[in-house]
Parts: sequence; structure tokens; C-alpha cells
Amino acid sequence: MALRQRSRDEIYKELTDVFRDVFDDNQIDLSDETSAKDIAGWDSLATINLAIEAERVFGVKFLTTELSRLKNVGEFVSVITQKLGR
Amino acid sequence: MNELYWLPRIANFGSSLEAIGESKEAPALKLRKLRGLANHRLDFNQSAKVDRALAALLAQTEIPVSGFTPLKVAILCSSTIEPFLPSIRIGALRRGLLIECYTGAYNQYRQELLDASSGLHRFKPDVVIFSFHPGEIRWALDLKASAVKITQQVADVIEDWAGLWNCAQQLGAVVIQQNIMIPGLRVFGQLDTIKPATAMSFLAELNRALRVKSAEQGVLVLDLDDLAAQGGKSAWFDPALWHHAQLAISPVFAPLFGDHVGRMLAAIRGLSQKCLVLDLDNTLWGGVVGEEGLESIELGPGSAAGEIFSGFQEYLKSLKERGILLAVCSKNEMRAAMLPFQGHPGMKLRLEDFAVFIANWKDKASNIRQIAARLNIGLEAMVFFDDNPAERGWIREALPDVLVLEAPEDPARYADALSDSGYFEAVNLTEEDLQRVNQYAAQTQREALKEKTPTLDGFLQGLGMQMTVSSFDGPGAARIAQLMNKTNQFNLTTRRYTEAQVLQRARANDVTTFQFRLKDVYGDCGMISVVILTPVQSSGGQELLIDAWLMSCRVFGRQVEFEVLNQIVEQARKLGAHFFRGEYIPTEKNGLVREHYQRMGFARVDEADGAGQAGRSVWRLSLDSYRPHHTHIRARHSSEIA
Repeated sequence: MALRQRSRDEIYKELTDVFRDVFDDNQIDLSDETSAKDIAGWDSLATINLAIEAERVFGVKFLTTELSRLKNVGEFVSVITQKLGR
Repeated sequence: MNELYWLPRIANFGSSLEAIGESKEAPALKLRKLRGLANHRLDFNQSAKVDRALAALLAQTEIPVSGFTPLKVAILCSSTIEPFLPSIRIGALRRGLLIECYTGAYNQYRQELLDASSGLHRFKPDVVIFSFHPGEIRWALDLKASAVKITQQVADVIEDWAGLWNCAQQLGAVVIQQNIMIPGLRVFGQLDTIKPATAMSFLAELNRALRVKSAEQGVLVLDLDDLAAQGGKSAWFDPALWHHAQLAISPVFAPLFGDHVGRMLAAIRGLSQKCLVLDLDNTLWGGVVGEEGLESIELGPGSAAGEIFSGFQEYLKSLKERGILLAVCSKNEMRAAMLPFQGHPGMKLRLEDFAVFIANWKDKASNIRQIAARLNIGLEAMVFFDDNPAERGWIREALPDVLVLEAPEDPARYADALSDSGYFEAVNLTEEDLQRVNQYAAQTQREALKEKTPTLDGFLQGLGMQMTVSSFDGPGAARIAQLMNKTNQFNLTTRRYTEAQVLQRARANDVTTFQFRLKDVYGDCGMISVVILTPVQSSGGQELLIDAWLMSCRVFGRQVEFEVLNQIVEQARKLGAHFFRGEYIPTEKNGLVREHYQRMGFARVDEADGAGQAGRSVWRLSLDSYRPHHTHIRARHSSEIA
């Protein structure tokens, strides 16, 4: 799964599903600027939940430093893109 | 072993959860459905969702709820526990417990335990769980320290813990102490095991001392070190998650962890299961004894499969010896079912090991009800283990209170699945310990819920059975011959034809042949029935003799024989026939179909026939007045029947 090439659009789409799943809200739409202040319930533990779900969906494992970067959606997508590209 | 693999997967999780949320049923009924949903292989995120639905439901429900036991649980720890709470609540719900969790202020459990005005004291917990991580245990890490000195330090830590337990016990709570997950880090390598002052040896010694002290003080131990070891410690402890969020366990494993907590809580409340209901064929031994005979079943030394089944029986015997009731519920002739118990050297279980032994052709749900009645225990105290997915599906539907394990594909894993499921979890507490817990017990009388009782008919419909009908052909000849030579129970005439004879009949102009295949939602059953029709001499083709009619035992009790009759009647009419003649020739093993033609609506005619063989009977059916039987099987023809 991790080896398949995904476009940034595809990553966005799958990450949107991750957010919707974790926050149990099908109305969530993401942009690069979306951050904790935009989504009710996005606290530090929710970041961990998002990371765990994203690790499962994208077949990656975040490093400690990468976890620190997951502050907004743009960074989320960049980290995942980097990891999938390796 | 990192997921709840003994529970069935769920295909339509989202819609099932939504349906429960939106339904207008009584809260107690919705709660039961939520419990049913919890009894699936949920992952971390799904557990969280069921937990949210549970909270929403409980917010508008008066507690106690009939059929559910409330319990207040305080979890005192120095790591982040919040992501585990949903899975703990769902693990408890799975067993009929409604728990309220208290976690208190972060890392202030000592103050809370000692301060009589604290939130913990006001909460009045029934159970207190202590969960510590290795980092907060202080010891002098002098690698040269002697074993004596280490033992002293271990004793100091345990004394400190015992003081905390005491405080909790004075609150009237049962105490569960989680042991320490020993990290994998080594300084010497394998030598760490021998050197007394390494972290590994120190913590191992601490876990050992905990075992001793907990038994003295009536405290239960949750063996996290073993749980994590089984799943893989390097995954259970993720340093990135620890440093980011003080998570001592990766939340991915929350469902399994929560289930282990849930089963201990259930055991404290006496809600563990008491009786294990077992199938026989392909469960206690390999093969079908009624078909293959005593000599051919796989059991005992000599083959890997045989040893596996003997090993499984040994495990079952050990369960029986610790007090679990064993029962047999098998679709079999009683005589065939008993055979291995009477004379097979590989059998580890004896007839007297079973509290109830039922072998008949009735549906298993009524048999399990009968077992429960005879043992005078509730259905919720019963666990059902059967290799056949259709039987499991039916019991889940007909008796939702019975716990039905998914049998692993490999029988070598049967014992693991039973063990890992934790249905028989036991706590060894003294009477006084339990009384303390029970003084809070709100006895909830289970009242009959007006739930739609599922019917066998509905179940058969849900199987989505599809039958394919065709005449004998080259590709099928080998399997037809195999069925004709192996089928003993559902076999009216027991005529054994070789592959060459099968092909010969396929080509003969005056012989009409049928092979039937069946598929259902659980998969493809393959070819399951064979019929051969030949003209009765001097009837000019008006009457056809059913020369052979047989069916695999895998599809007993599913209306297959009725649909087969519908199909062969339809075909015979097209050929211009007006009557069927059926023959029952008794053998050692086909008592099951003695009344078959009567059930099918044939009339007995053998007085006129004059056939002399004892027990043999001859039957006749008028095709002109035949009305097709109603079945839940959709039949289609794969080709024109010759």
C-alpha cells in the first residue's frame, strides 16, 4: 500500500476521510491552513489519533520529529508525501 | 495477537451504528444492540465511535438498565489513559457491564487516595486500577549492586504500592494492579538477565514480588508485561508516542487492552461464562465420524492433524478440571457421535467429562436452550464453539446472549482462540473481598425484552443460497464418484458407482442425471447432491425410479433436499413422466433418511412391490399433482439437462 504512488489530491482525499472518521463528522473539508483552531476537538490527543489512523491508511510510521510537525493539514500532507516518496 | 481475532469482523459498521442511533426503540433494547455491535472485531477508532454512541444513549437512559450491571472504576496512573477509556468501556459493555470511569487529576493519585474530600473519595469506586510505568519507579541503578540490595529495593517499592492498595481497599474497592512492561533495552545483552541490577532484572524481580504480595493482600494483577510480549513489545511501547503524549501503550492496541480490563471487571462481578458448548466433527476430531467411520477420523498420534485435535481436547479437559462445564451439541446420530468416546485411543475427553451430551438433527439453537435449561444456567453464561460458520451465524442470530467464538481456520489455533477470548476469566478473591464489592451491587432483574425473535426461516433466507443444477458431465465426474462413494448418512440407496460408471450414465439416453452445487453468503459449498433417475421397466417412461439420491452432510437442515425434489420433478415432467418411484435401502449409517420420502410427500407402496429385504421401503409420488415445496434457495440451470 505504501509503495503505490499517490498524487497530492489523492492524499488530500484520503486524509479528509481520516479526519472525518476520527472526528466523526462527515462535513469536514480540509485546506492547507486547516489547523486545531478550525476543528472542534482537535487537541494534542486528537493529533495522536489522527496520526495513528493516518499511519494505518497510508502504511507509514511517523518519526518523533514528524509527529511534532502535524500542526496543520498542509504539514500533514507534506509529511505523508515525503514519506511515500521515499 | 494484537486484535480481537476471536470476534467476527463487521462489514457494515457505520450503517449498523447509525441504525441503532436513529431507532426509536426502548433504551434497554438499543443498549442490547450496542452490546451486540461491541461483540465484533472493532479497531481503535471504531471502539471510540461505539463509546460515543454509548454515552449518548446513557445520557437519556435511567440507570440501572435491566440486563446490565453498573460498575464504577477508578484508574490511577501516571501516564495518559484517556485514549484507552473508550476501549475499556466497550470491553466491559461486551460483557454486560456499564462502567463509569474516574481518572482524577493527572499524576495526583497519591493525594487523591489520602484526601478524604477528593474527587476519588466522592466517586466511591467499586474497582481501582493502578497503572504505573517503569520510569516512575526509582531504584539505584548501580550495575554493581548486589542481589541482596536489589531485593531490598524491590521490597521497598512493593511496600509503597501495598500502602496505596490499602487506601483503595478502605474505600471499599477491589484493587487491580497492572504489572510493569519490561522494556527491551539491554546494557550487556543476554547477560542482563543474570546481572541483578540491570533494569531488566530489577523490573522482573519487581513483577515477581508483586505476584507474591498481591496474593497476600487480595489484589488482582493485570499482566501487562505478558500481554505486550505476546503482541510484540516494540510495537506496544512506541517511544515517539511516549515522548509526545506520555502514552505508555500505543493506542492501536487499546481494543485488546480494554478487553482484558473488561473481562477482569466482568469476572469481579461474576459475569464470566460458565459453560462451553462444543461441536464434534472437525472440532474435537478431524473429519466426520458418521461419514468416514471411526477408523478414518483424525485424532491422536500418527499425524500432525490428529495430534492437534488431541491437544485441543487436553486443553478442554484442563478447562473442565478448573470448573468450566463442557457440553456437546452435534448434528449427528447419537450412535455415531458416541463411537469415538467408546473406542478411540486418541480421545482425551471421556463421556463423563460432559455435563450434557446432545447429538441429533435438530437445529442447534433449540439444543443449546435445552442444555441451558438442564444445567439451570442462563444463555449469557454459555460459549459456543463450532467449526461451521453457518452454525455460528445461526446461533448469533437466534441466541444473541450466547457468546460465539470465531473458530480459527487452523485447528492448531483452537485452544489459543478459547484462551485469548477470555470468556472464562476468573478472579481468585476471598469471600470478604467479594462482599465488599457486592454491597454496592444493584441487582438488576433481567426482564423479557420485547425483541423480535429471529426465526430459522429468516436465517435460511439470510443465507442467500444459490443452487446450480446440471446433468453429469466430464469435469464433475470425479467429484460425483467421490460423493457417491463417501456419502453414508443422506444416501437413500447407497449405490457405489465408479467414475467410469458415472460417465457411462452421463452418456446413456434413458438415464437422467443431476448434480447440484450450492453457494451461500459464507462461500461456495461446491457439489453437494447427486440424483440419478432411470425408467421403471415396462412403464414406457411414465414412471421413473430414483436410482440414487444423496447429499453431503455439510448442507443438512437447509431445505436443499426440498429444492432438489422441485428441480427433478420439473425436469421429469418435461420428459413426460407422471410418477417417481423412490426406494430406501437401509444401511448401518443411513437411519437419518428412513422417513425421507414420507417427508417429501411420497406414499408408501412396497406391500405391492413385494421386495423382501428387511427395513427396505418403496415409495411413489404423483408428478401431476406435485406442488413445489417453498424453499429459500434460488436454483438455476448451468446447462440444458440431458
